Amino acid sequence: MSVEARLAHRNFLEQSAATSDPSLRAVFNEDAVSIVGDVSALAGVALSQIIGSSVPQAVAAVLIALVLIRISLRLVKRNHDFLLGQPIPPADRDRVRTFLLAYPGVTAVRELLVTYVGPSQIWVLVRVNVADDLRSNQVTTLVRGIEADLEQQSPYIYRVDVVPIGEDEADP
Amino acid sequence: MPNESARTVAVALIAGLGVALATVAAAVVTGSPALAAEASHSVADTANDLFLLVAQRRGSRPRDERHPFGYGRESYFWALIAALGVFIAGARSPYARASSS
Repeated sequence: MSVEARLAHRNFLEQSAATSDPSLRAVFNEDAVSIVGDVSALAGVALSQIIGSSVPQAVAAVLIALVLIRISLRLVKRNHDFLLGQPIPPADRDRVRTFLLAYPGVTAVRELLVTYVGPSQIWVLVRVNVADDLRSNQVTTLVRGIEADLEQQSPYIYRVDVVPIGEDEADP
Repeated sequence: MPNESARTVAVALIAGLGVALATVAAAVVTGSPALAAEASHSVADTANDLFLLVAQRRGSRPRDERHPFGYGRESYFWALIAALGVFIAGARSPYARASSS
């Protein structure tokens, strides 16, 4: 890899990694809802004082409840998705694929699995075709090289496993 | 990154505690159902931040032989529990009374 290519790839995955943290997400949502809730409560109390009816306060209370329920269901779904195993966005996946294909000796990317194993923690599992004229120790060097290089590309890459297969080998 | 998130949660916890105390006091003084709903919401938020703190601590342990992918998913589990807490707080908030919140 050239220096330019390395720089171009630096910090990739950063965007999607930032959205994989459930604590940040929850705190931001809570804070947003708190403000909405406080404002509606205040408006409800003020309106009730002005018109002398308790209806605005009751409406505000129900509104707060609905917003909370809506937010909580979104958070539940989000955490469910990540527990199940969330793939990274297609654009980031393509970047990883391009990165792999740039290696001399790698002729094709057969299977590419890029998934979250935790907040800002990405696991890359890939099956690559390697050129048939490589000797086994060259293949080992290539695989170790890709693994080390990819891990250096982004602080969010937690683990890389590269499985080399010969060009004429059928898909497993 | 983990440290940054831990700080975010810690700040949210302290701020949330302040908001909770203020809204509970306001609800008791005014006897307003809207403020009582908000107060129970704030108390639940503070409790949730405790769950998120647990998520941070347990989720950031390094990987070991039995857990080759580390403990990252622990964070999602505890955040899920916290999300259920938000749901419960929302569902019961309209029924909250100043005296019981």
